[in-house]
This record gives sequence, structure tokens and C-alpha cells, in this order.
Amino acid sequence: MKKHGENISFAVIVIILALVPLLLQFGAISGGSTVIFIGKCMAYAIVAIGIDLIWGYTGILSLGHGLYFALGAYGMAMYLKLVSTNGQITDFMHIGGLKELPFIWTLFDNLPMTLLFMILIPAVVAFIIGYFIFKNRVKGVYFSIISQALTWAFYSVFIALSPYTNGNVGITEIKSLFGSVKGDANRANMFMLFYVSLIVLILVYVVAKFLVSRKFGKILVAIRDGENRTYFSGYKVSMYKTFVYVLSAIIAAIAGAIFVNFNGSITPSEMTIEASIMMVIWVAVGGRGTIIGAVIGAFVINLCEYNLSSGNLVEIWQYIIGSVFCLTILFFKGGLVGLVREQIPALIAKFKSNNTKNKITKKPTVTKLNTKKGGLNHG
Amino acid sequence: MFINTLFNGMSLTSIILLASLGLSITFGLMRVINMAHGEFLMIGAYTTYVVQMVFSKLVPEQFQSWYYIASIPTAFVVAFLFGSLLEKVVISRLYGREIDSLLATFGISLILQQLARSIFGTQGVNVKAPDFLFGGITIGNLTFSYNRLFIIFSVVMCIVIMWYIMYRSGFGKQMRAVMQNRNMAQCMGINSRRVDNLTFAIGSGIAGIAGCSISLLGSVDSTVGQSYIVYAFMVVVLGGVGNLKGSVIGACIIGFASIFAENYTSATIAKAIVLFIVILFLQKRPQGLFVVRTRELD
Amino acid sequence: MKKFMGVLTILSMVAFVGCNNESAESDTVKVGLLHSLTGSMAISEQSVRDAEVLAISEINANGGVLGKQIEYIEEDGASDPSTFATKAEKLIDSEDVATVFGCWTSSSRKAVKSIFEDYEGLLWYPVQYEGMEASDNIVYTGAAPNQQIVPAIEYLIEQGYEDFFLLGSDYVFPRTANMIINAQIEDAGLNIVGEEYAGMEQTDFAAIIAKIEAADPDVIINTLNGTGNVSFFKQISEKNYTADDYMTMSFSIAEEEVATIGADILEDHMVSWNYYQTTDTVQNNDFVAAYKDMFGANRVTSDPAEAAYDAVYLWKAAVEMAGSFEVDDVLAAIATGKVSFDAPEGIVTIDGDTQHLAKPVRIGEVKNDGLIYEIFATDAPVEPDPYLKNYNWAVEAGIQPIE
Repeated sequence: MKKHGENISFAVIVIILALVPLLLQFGAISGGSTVIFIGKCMAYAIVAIGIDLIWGYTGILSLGHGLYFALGAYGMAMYLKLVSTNGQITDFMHIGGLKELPFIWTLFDNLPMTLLFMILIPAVVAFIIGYFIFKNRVKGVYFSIISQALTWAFYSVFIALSPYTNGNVGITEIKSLFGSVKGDANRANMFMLFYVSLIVLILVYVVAKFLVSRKFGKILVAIRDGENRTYFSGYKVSMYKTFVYVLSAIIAAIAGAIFVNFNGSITPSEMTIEASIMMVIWVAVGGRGTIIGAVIGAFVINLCEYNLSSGNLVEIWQYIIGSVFCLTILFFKGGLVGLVREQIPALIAKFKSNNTKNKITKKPTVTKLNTKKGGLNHG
Repeated sequence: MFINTLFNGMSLTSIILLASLGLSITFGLMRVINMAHGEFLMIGAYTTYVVQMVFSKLVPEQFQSWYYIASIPTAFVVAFLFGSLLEKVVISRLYGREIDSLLATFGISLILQQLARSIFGTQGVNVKAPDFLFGGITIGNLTFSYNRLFIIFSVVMCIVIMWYIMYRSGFGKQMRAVMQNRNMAQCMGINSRRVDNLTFAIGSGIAGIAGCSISLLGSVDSTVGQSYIVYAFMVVVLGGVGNLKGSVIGACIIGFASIFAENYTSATIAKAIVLFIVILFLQKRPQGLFVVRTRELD
Repeated sequence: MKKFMGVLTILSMVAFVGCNNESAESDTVKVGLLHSLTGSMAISEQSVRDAEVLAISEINANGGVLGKQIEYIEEDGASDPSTFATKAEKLIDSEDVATVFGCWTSSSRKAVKSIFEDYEGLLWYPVQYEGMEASDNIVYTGAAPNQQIVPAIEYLIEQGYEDFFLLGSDYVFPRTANMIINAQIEDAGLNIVGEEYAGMEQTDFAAIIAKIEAADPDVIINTLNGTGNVSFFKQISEKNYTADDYMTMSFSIAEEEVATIGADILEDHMVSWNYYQTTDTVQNNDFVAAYKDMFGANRVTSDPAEAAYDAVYLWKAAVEMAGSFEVDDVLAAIATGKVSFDAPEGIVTIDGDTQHLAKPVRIGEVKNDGLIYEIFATDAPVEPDPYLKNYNWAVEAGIQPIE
């Protein structure tokens, strides 16, 4: 049961998601915009899986995944923009003084090339960064801060090169791969996009699950829990890390490409540090180290935000979300998944047995939380 | 022109350094990544504003400018208390969990920002520079403003005081002992919990002082800390964790590089260039410029 | 009658609470407010949002629109264009609002523009902007470039300024504005002695100030946004520079910004808008009094806040002319070019073609009481020309977007 629990939960989520368009069709959901938002959440769930692979499993915290998300999104957006201008230069290039399509844009003038470069560019960036960083054994928070600086640097570059990227405004007024998805008239397009995205989500889940359930996944966990021991056991730690980093960058890029289809625009604000940290928070709240946790976290936080960050709740919402992050990290390291798996069973057990037993049942969770305490004595 | 650039570089360095000093010791000693550090700058800036308000109500006209002198210790104390509280409630549960501390304090930072909005309103508030900081010393056609000179002076003071605390006082000895080997320090009878709390509070207090300075240079609003936090982190990482010398040199590199790059290109590009330089440099020396050597493998 | 009014007041109070009162649906009409209440733009957008709430409450107290009370649904754009897009979609499609008042930055407007077009919604955008846009589904109640930037430069040229320094945030509004100004100044045969862009979160302006000192301009054309203004002016005043040393003409500094920068620092500097708190009309006296009454005596009104206030009333006028809340009908009424409102700034009329307002232009000077006083004003409202088609120099420079 425990072994398949995750897959069963994911199957349930997939079924619910698959039903969403039908619910709209039968009027149970008011407005296609809700479905579009759930579509965006699927993109968020995909990037969360990528982050979970690198953070939850391998223990590398990247605070710069917004960069790869945005690179993928920009790639897709450039193609879609060229579709809408028939391959001609855009307004912002004209205003920026460009006479013809810049080289980087010509890479994205057809779909196969777009799909290739949309993944290749983030992958190459991630490889260059990852290769050197991990080879030089930069780890822990050092890596986090460097990744943060990296996304900030790219953010500045995207703003500064406004004739090519349209600066802060980004690429707007684009339709999806399947045409417009907004409004009742375009529902068929939207469903198409929705189900394609769902399939991508399933594929990414399967790939991630496949990787972590093999020896490869065990090595990742080994790296997380004892990097040097893994190193001394003869594994090329830096190669594994680079591979996971590149993989998660690719996943983030795919997520970005899906996101831009639903969103109809992309701006550099996806590259801000705050956006990147939010992605990590989804994983933390959902439950790190379990692929399903990442998916759940992305959906739960975004759906709550969608429904709660409005009207009179705005002010309170900030307090709520802030304390949820804080409390999750402090007390529920396993996130929602951990809550269901460990804390709640522990509680139930506590209720069932009398006070003599509850200390024993409670203990595993406590010690588990403290396993890393050993690292306290760092230099 | 060159001297002017040098002076501007120095003043930017001092601001960045002031913003990162507190972070440098908390990160260095406790291995806690405080994402809410920027909000301590904010607390300092708002404290300056409150002191200014109080002075304008209670103090006669001619002493009005002295509010700024009063606000420096006040900002320190307020940020110190906030820091101490934060350490007790949150940070103390996160020792040894560097990455977790980063995420938890991000939550704290959201809460503190909203708190500022709830108390002071969404709009920024106006902190008026005291009269005695207006103007500057003019040599030839160059003007060195008193304000910048004052900031340079305060950062030097902060460093001297911190240097004294860290390397000359008994408490500093305890601090460094805990930093280098916590278990051994505890065995020697050092109350490491108390040392942690005080260190974090002092670090926060210095951020409060930095907040005082930046309130004279720019907007005081709930997002003020966000503009400085990444630079602060970069300085700490670049300089090497847990030592003053590293932070000073790290801040110099970032400050001067920014100003020099900005002379030749636009501000946005200059920022990107500096960040890329730092990233490249850290590839070469991942632990930063100066490393506190321990026998720890990690 | 009195009882009726009492009931109305209670109803409007219920509407204020913002809860979805389904039973009262037939008596109310829902509108959306979409501004950043958190994040870096909240500093600016708060006042605009407040002005909209004020207008709605006034209209409700006076019987509402077509006999219906306005119920507003507020969403937080969180200073993030993608969030704006998501929330705009939610408002139009899920909440089914009649119209939306919202946005501040051009990036948020551009992000929601196609959404309003696709869903056939209606957005009222209350801030001056860079022009080069006229969406069928947006009504622009702030100034187009020819109602703010162009006349301000004309004024400066008339006053004999010759060397201009362009300073802006690295952002679409300053870049487009400076493109226009470049063409205009070149046409006048005068000099641009420098053009610099600061990062959006930039806090240190020392290098830029050094560049200004080296260029030694007569006047600085300032298109900095948000917090950049505070940093720039605080830091230029450090060296005791005043308007005598470097005159500035700002396009994003209103009373609200003066309060956060400090009136003493900004004294005698020039700004260009369509409205100031000191604008001398009966409507404005009422507006300022009502605004202070609702949000506190220390609050000031500003051009964007006034434009947002006008937007709500203009929407009401258009709805009443159309006799319907349907977007198509409202747009048809607007297309007649006869929808107007006796606003605090003077009578404003929506131009049927471009959906921009014809509005008076006022050049103002900041004084040490923190208010801005008019030093020049156009005799009549200026017709909007978002693409600057009626300016030869602009057409020759080719700054219009491609067709």
C-alpha cells in the first residue's frame, strides 16, 4: 500500500484534472478562466517536480529555477509571437530600432526548432553553470546564493536588451499553440491545450518516478544525506549533480512553455528571486522528497492564493501564507505528504493506545526531524 | 572625475557593507541564512521615521535635526529586540538546517513586510535628512557630500566596534569558539544558546543601523529591504563566511565594480556584469576570499 | 424617501464588505478593481484604488447606476504582470464583472490587454502612459503623450531651455517617452546632452549624478518610476543641488510622491500633469474634501487618483447613456464621443475613436507646502493623439508602431 500510495494519489489527481473540462462543459465550474488557471497550476506542478528532483532528492537548493522556467517560456512565446506577426518584426523591435528579425528570434520561427531550442538553451545554460559549480564542489547555501545571483543577472540582461526582449513588458498578446483559448467560442482549443498539458504532466511524473525508484534515485538520496561518503564510495558525485540539475532545468523549461500557452504573455518577473523561492515553497509545503508532494504543493498553494488573495483578505493572506511557510519548515518537514504519512498516523496511534504507548509511536517522527542535527557542529 | 568615481565607489561600498555586516556574522556564526535580513533594514528605516515623528512632536525646532543622532541607537535597539525574538521563536529551531532556515525566514520576511504595510500604510514615508548632513565639502569642482561621508564614518565605526567585540572582548572569544567548534565550546562551559541569541540580535541590530542610513538615501517603504538583500548575500559569500576582513573586501569589489561598470554602460547592464563577475569568481574560489579553516570535511 | 435612502446606505455598506451576496444580485452590479496591493508597486497603486472606492461609494450613496448599487470585487495584482493576467481573467470570466478598473504599470496593462480583448471585457486604465496603443476594450483616462510629455517639452523650449538630459527607469514608459522627446528636441534643433536609464530597483544614483554633472544640462527630463524617484532626488539634494542648479521636469511625480520625497527637496522643480490637488474648480474642492474625509486628512490627491475617480464616473455616464451594463452597449455609447464628466480637473470627454480622454494640460511647480501649483495651462482640453499622428516631427521620425 505504502509503496503504491504515491502513484494512487497521483492517479486520483490525474482523474480529477481530466474531469475538470467536463465539469466546465456541464456547468459545474463557472467560467473557462478557472480551467485556464488550473492549466497554469499544471505548469507549476511540472516545475515543482523538477525542483523536487534536485532539492528533495539530491539536496541541492536552487533559488534560480525561475530562470529556466522563463527561458522555456520565452522560447515558446517567441515562436507564438512570430506566428501572430507572420514572421515579421514586432512593434517593440521597431521601436527599439531594429530593422530585421534578430538572429536569436530566427531560431524560433518554426515549431520543431522551437521545441528543440526551447529545451536546448536552458539545458546548455544549466550545464555550463552546473558543470563548473559542482566540479568546484560549491554546495549548500553557497550554491543557492549563486543560483539566486544568476537569475537576477539574467533578469537584468532581459530588461536591458529591450529591443530583443521588450524589457519589463515581455512578450505579450500571443495565442496558444492551438489558437486562442479564451472565451466560450474557443473552448475546443482550450480543452486540447489542457489535455496535452495533462499528458505532459503525466509524462514528467512518470520519468521522475522512474528515475528516483531506480538505483539512480538511491544515489541521489545518498548524495543528499552524505555527499562525501558517496564520493568515497566511488561515485562521480559532480556528474550526478550536474545531470539532475540539467534535467530539472529542462523540466522547468517545459513547464514554462506550457505556462505561456495558458497565460498568453511572459514577462521577466518570472525570473525574479521571489518567484523562484515561491517554487521551492510549493515543494516544501507539499512534501519534499516525494514526487507527489511537489505536485500537491503546487496545486494547493496556487489554488489557495487564487481564491484567497483578493478583497478584504489580501492583508490577512500575506500573514497566513508567511506563517504557513514558516510553520511547515519548522514543524512539518515532510510537508502535507509527511503530515498524512507520519504525523497523522502518529496522532491516531496516540489516540488509540493509551499514554504508555504514545511515547514510542511518537518517537520515530521526532528522531527523524532531528537526524540532521548532527550537522550542527560544522566549523 | 576619477576621484569622484572613487568616492562614489567608496560610498556605495560602505552602504553595501553596512547592509551586509549583520548578515556576515549571523551567517558566519550560526550558519543561518536569514532571508528576513532585508526586513531588519526596513525596521531600522521605519524606526528612524518614528523617531523623527516623535521629535517633531516633542522637541523644539532648533534641536529637530538631532533626531537622526537619536535614531541610530534606537534603530539598533529595536532591530536588536526583533532579532532576539526571532532567534528565540524561529531560528533556534533551525540550527544545522541551513537551507530550511532560508525558507522559513522567507516566510518571516513576508509577514514583516505586511506588518509594515498594516502599520505605516502602503505608501512610503518621508525621512528627512537632518540639516547638518545637507551639503558637503567642495574641493575644486568636486563635492563630497556630508551624508556620504557620514555613512562611510558609520560603517567604519560599526566595523571597529564589531572588530572589538569579536576579537577583543570576552564575549567575542566565546562567539568565535562556538563558531569554530560548538561541541568543544559547550564542553568548556560556554552557554552556546545565549551566545547564539546575542550574536543574532547584534547582527540584526547592525542591520537596523544600516536601515537608518539607507532611509536618507531612498524610499522608506515595505519593500526597501528587498533592494539590498541580494547584494548583502553576495558580499558575504564573496568575502567568505564568518570574517570581517572578507566582508569588507567583498563589499569593496562589488561596490567599486558597480560604479566603474556604470560609468561605461547602463545601470542595468552594469548590475548584470557585476553579478556575472562574482559568479565567475566563486567558481574559482567557492568558499570565498577568506576561509575560516576548520578540520571539518564539509 | 428617507427610509429608502437608509436602505440604500445599508445596502452599499453590505456591498463594501465585498461578500458575494447572491440574493441581492438583481439590485447590484459587480465591478472589479485590479491593483497591486502588495509588492513594489503597491506604494503607487494604493491611492488609485482608494479614489476608485471613493467614487463607487459616492455613486452608491446617490442611488447607484441605473438604479443598481455598485458592488466591487477587489483582486491583488501583486506587482506581477502574470498575476494581473490571471486575476483579470478571473474577474471577467468567473466573477462576471461589468467592467474592471485597474492596472498602473504598462507591463501590467500589456499583460491584461489581450485578455480584455479576447473576453470582450472593458478595462479603465487610469494612469498617464507612453501611448502608441488604443485597444477597443480599454478606456485610457490618464494622459496620452501629447497631453503630458509633448506640451511639457514645448513649454521648456519656449522657456529657453537648450540642453536636455533624459533620465528614466529601464522600463517601457521612459524608453518610449524618451524616444518621443528625442524626436521633438531634434526637430527644435536643441541638444540632448545625455540619456540614462536606472534599474527598477536601483538605490544608488551616485554614478548617474556624476554623469549629469559631467553633461551639465539645463534641465533634466525625469521619467523615473516609483522608488527610483525618491532615491534620485534624495541623493541629488545631498550635494545641495536645487532647482537653480539642475531644473527637473518630471512625469511621474505627483502630490503623493512629493510627500514621500520631501517637499523641501523638490521645491521649485517642475512636473507635468492634467490635474493637481490645487486645481481650482468646485468639483475639485468637493473631491479633495471627500478624499480626505474618507482616507485621512494627511492624504493628498494626485493626477492618477483623480483619473481613476473620473474613470468610475465616466463608466457610469457611459452606462447611463447606453441604458445597459453590457460591454458592447457601453462601448457603443463611448464611440459616440459624447460621454463626458465634469471632473475635478475640468470637463473630460472620451474620444470615440481612441477611447482616450480630451483633457486640459497643466505644467506645475512644487512648493514647500508639498502641493503643486499650476504655472501654465492650456486654454481648452487637448484632444488625445496616442500615436502622435498630428505631429510632423513624430511622423517623420517614424515612431508610430508598424501597422
